[in-house]
Amino acid sequence: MTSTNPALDIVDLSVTFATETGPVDAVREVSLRIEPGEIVALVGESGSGKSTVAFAAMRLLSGNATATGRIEYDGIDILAPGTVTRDFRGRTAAMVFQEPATALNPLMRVGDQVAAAVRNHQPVSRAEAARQAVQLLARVGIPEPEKRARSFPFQLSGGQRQRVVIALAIANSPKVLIADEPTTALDVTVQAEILDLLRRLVAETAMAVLLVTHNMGVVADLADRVAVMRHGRIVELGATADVLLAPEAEYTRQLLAAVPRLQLEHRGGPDAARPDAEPVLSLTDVSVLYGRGASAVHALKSVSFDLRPGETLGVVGESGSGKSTAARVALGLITPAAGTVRLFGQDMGRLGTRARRRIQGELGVVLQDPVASLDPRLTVGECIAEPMRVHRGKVDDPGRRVRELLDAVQLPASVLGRSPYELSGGQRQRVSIARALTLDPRLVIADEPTSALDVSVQASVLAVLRELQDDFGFACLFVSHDLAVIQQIARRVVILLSGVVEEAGPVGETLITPHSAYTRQLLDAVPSPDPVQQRHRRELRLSRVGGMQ
Amino acid sequence: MTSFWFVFRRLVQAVTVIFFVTVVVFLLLDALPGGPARGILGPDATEQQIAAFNASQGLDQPAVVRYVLYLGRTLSGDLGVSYGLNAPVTELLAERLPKTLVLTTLAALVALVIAVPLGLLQAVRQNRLVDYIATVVTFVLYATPVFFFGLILIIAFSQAARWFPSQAPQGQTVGDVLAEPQALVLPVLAGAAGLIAVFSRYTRSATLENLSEDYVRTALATGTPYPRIIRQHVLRNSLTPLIAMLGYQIPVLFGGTLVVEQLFNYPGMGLLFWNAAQSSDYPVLLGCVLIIAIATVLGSLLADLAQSVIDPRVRSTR
Amino acid sequence: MSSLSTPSPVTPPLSADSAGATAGRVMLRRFLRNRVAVAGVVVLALFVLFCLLGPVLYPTDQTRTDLTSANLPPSAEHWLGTDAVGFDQLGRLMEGGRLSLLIGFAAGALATVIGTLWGAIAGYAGGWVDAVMMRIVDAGIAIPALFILLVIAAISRPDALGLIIILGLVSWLVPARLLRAETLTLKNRDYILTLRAIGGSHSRSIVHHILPNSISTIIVSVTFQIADAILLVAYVSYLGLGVQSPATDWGGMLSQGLTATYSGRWWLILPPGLSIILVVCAFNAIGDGLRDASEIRGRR
Repeated sequence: MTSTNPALDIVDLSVTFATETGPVDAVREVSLRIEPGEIVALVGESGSGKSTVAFAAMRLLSGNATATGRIEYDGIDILAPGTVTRDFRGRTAAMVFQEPATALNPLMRVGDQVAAAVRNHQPVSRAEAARQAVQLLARVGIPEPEKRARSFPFQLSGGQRQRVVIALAIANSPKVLIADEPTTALDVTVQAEILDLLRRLVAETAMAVLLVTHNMGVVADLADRVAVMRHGRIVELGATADVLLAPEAEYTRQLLAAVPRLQLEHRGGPDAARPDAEPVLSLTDVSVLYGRGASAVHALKSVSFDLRPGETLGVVGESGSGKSTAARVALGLITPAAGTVRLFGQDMGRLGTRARRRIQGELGVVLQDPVASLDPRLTVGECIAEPMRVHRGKVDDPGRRVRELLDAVQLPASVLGRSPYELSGGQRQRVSIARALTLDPRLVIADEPTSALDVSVQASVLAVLRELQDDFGFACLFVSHDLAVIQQIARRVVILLSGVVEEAGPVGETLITPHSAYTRQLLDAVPSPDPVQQRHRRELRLSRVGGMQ
Repeated sequence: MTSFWFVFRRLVQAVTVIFFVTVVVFLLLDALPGGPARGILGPDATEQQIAAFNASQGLDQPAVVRYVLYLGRTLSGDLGVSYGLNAPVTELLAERLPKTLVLTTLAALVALVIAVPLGLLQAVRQNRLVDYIATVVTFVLYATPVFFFGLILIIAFSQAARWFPSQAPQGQTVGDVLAEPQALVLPVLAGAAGLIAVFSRYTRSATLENLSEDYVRTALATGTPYPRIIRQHVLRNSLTPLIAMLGYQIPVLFGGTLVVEQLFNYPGMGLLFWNAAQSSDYPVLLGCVLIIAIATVLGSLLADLAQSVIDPRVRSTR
Repeated sequence: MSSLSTPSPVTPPLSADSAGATAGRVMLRRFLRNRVAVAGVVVLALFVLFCLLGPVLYPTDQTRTDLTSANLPPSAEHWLGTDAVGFDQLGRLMEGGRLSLLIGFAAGALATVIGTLWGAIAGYAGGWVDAVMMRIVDAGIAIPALFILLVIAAISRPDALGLIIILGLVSWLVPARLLRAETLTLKNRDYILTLRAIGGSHSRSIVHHILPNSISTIIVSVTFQIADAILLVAYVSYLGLGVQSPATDWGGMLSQGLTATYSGRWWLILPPGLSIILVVCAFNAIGDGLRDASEIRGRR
């Protein structure tokens, strides 16, 4: 009621989960206050407890969680019994979730879902609620809102679905908006648009926002203040510019150092590798079709690129660009509808099974998901040794080879007999890399090998990969959505858009001074973890977007 | 566009399945002692008659040709003549099938009316006393052989309490059958028992699954009251797959009728089949199998189409 | 870009901090916490002991009929009375239980083996092979097992082994569907794709990875299949196609007892009927417990 109250005041919040293996302290004595109209980011790596704080603030924790401390909205503590009334969720506080793909009811038209949210708190007629729903959809930037209101969620793109989730959240003008990784599942260009939308809504309504994210760029772009969390505690809290530019806590410094930053200026260095050598991998006019007949979709359309010995080629694109399909074609997992794939000079389409297998023995593979890339029924040692079982006789002493490889990826020999289950995501991805190198391959194909990892883990895995490339001298096809990572690790880059090569060239030129408008747009959309720089970049981007229209 | 292709593909699938069913029935027919000739001419036919029949019908030809001939006869509606009842099988089926459908439909409806609210209640009250009791009851219902359950019904409600007759309606037509509703009670209950178990278990787990979905959390976060979440979101999402499930339960339903009709002496297809099995009346046996299989395939086709009307994703993704 | 996510925020991940807890051990611990499932194990164990060791403690003659002591009510001499031809009913319950359990177990296992291979091959092969194989399964499911059993019985009368084979042959369809679905997910797991990309053979994928990783699905399926097979044996006997006397099973005892219901000889039907119900319930409870325990995404 009084203007002195903060919109949200969290005091000494602790959350403990009762799990099968005993209690786990997810959040320990966290205190945080957010004033009306302020955006406060909660940043940290997985397991830091940042999302748990967000769910606790909505009273949406699962049944095995116990929360202590105070969470006050305008002076009322919602952890006290009897304080969570029907008005609380939706009217006092509302939430935007990470996964727009599953956050909406799949069987209900989106307009009806928004209208239902309106009617949760406002005694209006169905027709009036439907009218308001269309207005809300328009407000969150959905084109043709009358028509889109009649769509089912699966008919909308990921970005549009997230806009609908935001419309649900603001339907009853909440005082506090809690956004849990709202852009993590989205492409970088869509992320920029959603961040713009959130910024505009806060400016219009003076909502307070608790923004949970792992992305320092998002923090720099949107937040007024930031709290850095680790192991359930806040290790640093301050104005965004102070924390990101002059971090005090050692952990914040490490975290910021690990964030891959997009280079904006050309710094020279070695570019194209031996252009004369015969390529280890070459795709020529490769097309891939999904589906049949009139409804068939081109996943790749006349895609060509070469990869020379010892070099790293980055393949970049947003979801649906065909970058993973390209990797799978190179791996021989998808047979192209047209075009040729040459591996070490041999046309894979013309080889017999036996010759093909022999050639495939020169390949190493690292795929995205650290959970699914290792068979949970095998031990770590068996996982690494499997390529030697497939290609018998290529390695003299398999036992020694496995130990060497473990050493190379900087894992202790004690993990050999353990199950992949017992390892962390970063450790598993190192095991995958070790397995890829078992047969001393000439080419390693890596599909988003670090995108499921925390930034600090990502940094160390990338470092291992680069070091090994220096030692072993393999060529690498590196598929990623992250331009900054590509810039760090690749020499040349291919940018895919809807299955077509949009642009290709040396990283130093293509990702600094691109020729294609799309590449420019992609680069502009990457948020910089430097708030000053980011404000400048955002203005530049918005002016370019305006200029294009 | 997409829905047209969905319906088209589903129809092609159904036709393929029916094709395989005719192959199975043909193989069974071919494996009969005396072969299809005896199946059609009856057990009293002489060797010469059989030989003449085989020659005239091309049954001395290779299996593929014989199959084509069998398919031709079947498609023209000729399923042979019953040995014992001296009537064309198609005629017998036309008389008996509707009565069986009455029994199975009623059983399925009763099962749904009981099982769906029960399953919902169990899911909402998961791991409470109600859930435990209902779980035990449904386990027992599932594990009780239909004939044993029917017998207990007869002893309890026909012998001890004389509420309902122990014999099902004996009427010739569907109208006659429906005219004796009190005689239908026990057979319908016996037929519904196992289905109650299956449907309520299914409803329970589907509801639990939906309750843990993200969209429920979204609805909670917008301030939707819990009962409305169940009504507006969870119910529909949980029951839509139940429709397809219903299609897959049709064979179970028919299997149950076989026993129920025999136990309560209900003059439907199940009893016809059972009597035919006692007297080795092959044309009737195979005719029944064919009709039931076709009914099953059509039933699950309809169930899938109904589901696709409710769930727009089914049309576009498959 | 679709699945780069931090782990689900509401429940903390199990793996990293629960050192030493392998998948199998987690599954066992969850199973043991499920009281209904543990009760199922106990009931089943008691029945197996009863059928195997019971005759040692309570020996009866189950080969020769004795019409002089037919239809006796329960007494000190015959704890559960005798049947219409003078067999001791309690001894007969052990005798019949052995056969019911044996046939159910063997037929359930056979059905699962056939279904596993069929489903794994269909799911792994994909394309038209999969389409044809699964339409055959659809066709099989469209014909109720009881009807097929009656037709077969009209042709020939099987013995216990024949019964096992026939029951196995009519009930492999559901496990085939389950295993196909399992194989479809597993064959696109990254570790299989990795293996295939470096030239690993199909047989290696199936034998070393897909089947071992389907083992929990297979075990769950076996328990449900055994439950269904025991019920099916009962139906087969009820329809008069069971094993020949003096051998018997619970279903056969039950159907013979049916004629005596109206004369009030409850001891002829209640013991075999309740035995069937208890054992089938036990198997289903175990199956349910195993299924819940093997779900990685376990519920709270």
